[in-house]
Amino acid sequence: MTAGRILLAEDNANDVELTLAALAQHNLANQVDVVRDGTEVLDYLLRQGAHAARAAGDPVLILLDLKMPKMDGFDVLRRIKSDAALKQIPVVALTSSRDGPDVRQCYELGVNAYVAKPVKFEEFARAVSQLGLFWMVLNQVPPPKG
Amino acid sequence: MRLLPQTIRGELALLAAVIAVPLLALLGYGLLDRARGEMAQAEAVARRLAENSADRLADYVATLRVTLESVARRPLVRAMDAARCDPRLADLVDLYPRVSSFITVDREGVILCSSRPLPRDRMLRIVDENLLREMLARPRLLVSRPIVSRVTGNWIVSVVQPVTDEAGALVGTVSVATELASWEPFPPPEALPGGALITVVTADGTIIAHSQQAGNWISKRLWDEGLLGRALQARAGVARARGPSGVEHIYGFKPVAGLPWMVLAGIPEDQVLGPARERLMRTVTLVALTVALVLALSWGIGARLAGPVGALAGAVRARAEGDRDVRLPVEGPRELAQVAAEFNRMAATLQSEEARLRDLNELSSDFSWETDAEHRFTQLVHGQRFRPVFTDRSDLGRTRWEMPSVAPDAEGWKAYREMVEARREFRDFHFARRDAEGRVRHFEVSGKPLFAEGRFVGYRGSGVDVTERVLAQEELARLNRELESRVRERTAQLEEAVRELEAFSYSVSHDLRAPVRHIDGFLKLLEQESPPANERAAGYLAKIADSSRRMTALIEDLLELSRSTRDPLEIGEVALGPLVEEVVRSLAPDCAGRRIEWRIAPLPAVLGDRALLRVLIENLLSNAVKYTRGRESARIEVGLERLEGGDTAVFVRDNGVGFDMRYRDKLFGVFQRLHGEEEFEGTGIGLATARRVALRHQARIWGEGEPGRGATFRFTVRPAEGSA
Repeated sequence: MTAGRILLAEDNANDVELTLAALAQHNLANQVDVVRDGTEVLDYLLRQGAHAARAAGDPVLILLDLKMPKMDGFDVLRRIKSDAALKQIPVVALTSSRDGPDVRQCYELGVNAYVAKPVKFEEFARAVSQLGLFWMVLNQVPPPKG
Repeated sequence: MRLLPQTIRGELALLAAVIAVPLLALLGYGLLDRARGEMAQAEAVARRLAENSADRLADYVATLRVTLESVARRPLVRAMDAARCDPRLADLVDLYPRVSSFITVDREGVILCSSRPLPRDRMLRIVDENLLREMLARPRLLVSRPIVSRVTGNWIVSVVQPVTDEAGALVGTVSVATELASWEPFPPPEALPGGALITVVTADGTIIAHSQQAGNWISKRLWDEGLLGRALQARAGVARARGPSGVEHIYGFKPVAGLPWMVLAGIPEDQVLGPARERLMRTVTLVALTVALVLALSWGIGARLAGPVGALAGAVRARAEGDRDVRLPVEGPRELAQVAAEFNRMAATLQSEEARLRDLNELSSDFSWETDAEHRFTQLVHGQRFRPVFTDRSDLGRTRWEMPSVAPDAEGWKAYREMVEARREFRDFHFARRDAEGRVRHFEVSGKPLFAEGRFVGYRGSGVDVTERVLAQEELARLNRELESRVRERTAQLEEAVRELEAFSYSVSHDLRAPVRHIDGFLKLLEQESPPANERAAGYLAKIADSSRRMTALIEDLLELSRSTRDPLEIGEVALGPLVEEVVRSLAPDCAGRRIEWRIAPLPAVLGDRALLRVLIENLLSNAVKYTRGRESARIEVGLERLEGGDTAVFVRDNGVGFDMRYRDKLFGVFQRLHGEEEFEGTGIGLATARRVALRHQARIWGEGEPGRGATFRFTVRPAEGSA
């Protein structure tokens, strides 16, 4: 079991790289698993499909891009938060948009935080790192059952 | 009380009569008075004539008596001897021309002597034995009744004087006989008034003298017993009676003193009244002529008045009966001519009024109609432009609801019937019927109830053919329906477009930003990996960073503009004061290192969308901050103003670079910039967004400025209830 993994759901390779770069500045990059779309998020969480062989254990944090192919962030969020086993996992929505409806919809679906990706890399890096640190270090997750 | 209605002629005749009658009465009275005076005068004359004659007679008889008395005393007479007659007797006859003879008579009544020769062969006795006996009984002077003389054979009257001897014993009589036929014991004819007639009668009514044709009358009885009676009764006086010829006379009568005789003096009434009568006749003729003239005049005046008045009455009647062209000749008396002229004027005015009404009616309606009290048509008059539904008048005598119609329905007709039976005025009642060709025609009729002396007599109204209008309305309704469906279609298209726009802005916000972010991110990573080789490379990197920053700003502003248009309005009370303070605080990073004097007046709560209002204020204040950058001491004022029209406006005033009013139209356009980007950074979208916000609040926004002297921007607000 690998303790304290971060799941990054992001389809854009540039964003993945920048996010990882930002997390790397705080030595969090090696704890990140990356998935490319919504179905893969579910596969990862449910350890099915390509992730069937994954070691058991939920990630401490899901960084979820809202705009993804196949199954977008809203659907993923809805699934996670309606699943009794998964809804404990903190989900932070990462998005390019600060548009009102997106924010409202996310919170209605039970997102734990919502972060608009700052355009300036420094700010972006700071925001992502702080998120990771916050959820990884400070946030007390309920102990796994059983 | 009112007299019977009079005609003008009658009135005038009455007037003439009223004037004539007193005049006539006065005249008549004068005439009568005068006649009466003349009559009295005539009576006096008659009486005087009678008295005069009576006196003459008395004198005559007295003279005879004196003569007889003296004769009686003559010795030869006393002797009473036929052989010895007194010769004087014959002489006496000459003295008394009207005396036929003096005779002496003995006691036996035998005539002894006579002044005229007696018939020889026989001895004569007197005629009047009664007189002799009377004489014998009481000797005195006596007068005989008229008798026929034994001597002359003529009618005579004897005056008998007793003859006595010396002893005083009666021995006989001496008498004198007066020939009545030639006796004229009257005043001389020249002393008599014309036509006067004098008659002497004895007490028993026998005529003994008559002033005209005495022979015919002597010894006859008086012609009028009534007159005799009255004369005898009154002894003296006057009376009116018929004369011998049957003509009315005025009689004066007088008894002869000492004798049983009566004198009657008559004057023919026409003699007396003749002149009066003539005058009367003249006057009457004159008066009659005058009255006739007056009557004729009044008749003429009446005719002159009545003619035109009658003509006027006729004209008025003709006018009332509908003859519009009737006019009166302007003639006759001035007043009537004036009336005629006025009538003509009135008729002309009426005519033009009627023409006007007719024209207006024709222009404003297509037909007019009238009904009787039972709502049956009595009149239908079509205007010239109107094409009648039916050419015959089959509608007359029917009610409107009895006409074949296609609208309204039975319910509608029932309502109409109730309305007209309640005698209400109505407007624009609609019905439709088929014309002769079977086309449906629509009509609107209006009507007014008519009352004559308080009694309902029917309706009068007008009607309009509204077929074209109804058809147009139907067409309009059809077009409206079409239009609505088209609008729905377009709306759907628009909504689709809006949805696409939203999708576009969403993708802009997401997909456009991502590459920019990536550029910035990798640029930073590049700088970390390997510092720029030289200063030029560093400059390029800086330019790339700046471009990405500007791109980001553009995207943000565009999104905000899009949001300001798209987001639903959430109108509520917004406290402007705190909002402005909040915005000022958020601008703090831009103000760092600058001296800015904020003058913010107390601001009210207004009605609006807080988020949008914030965008608006943010744009105005950030502009003010930006464009005062060159000022050593910048001043930015925010306050409230009341505008002339009663609106309230918030203003933001700065002492910055200002702008040229020539370009104020461009202030609020998207991407419109009045300053170079080198001078003042910006996207040129801020004021466009502010204007959108104002528009969505139905507010106005405008700016005033002067280059180098600052700018003032204003937008109107709606203060919330109870807010200052």
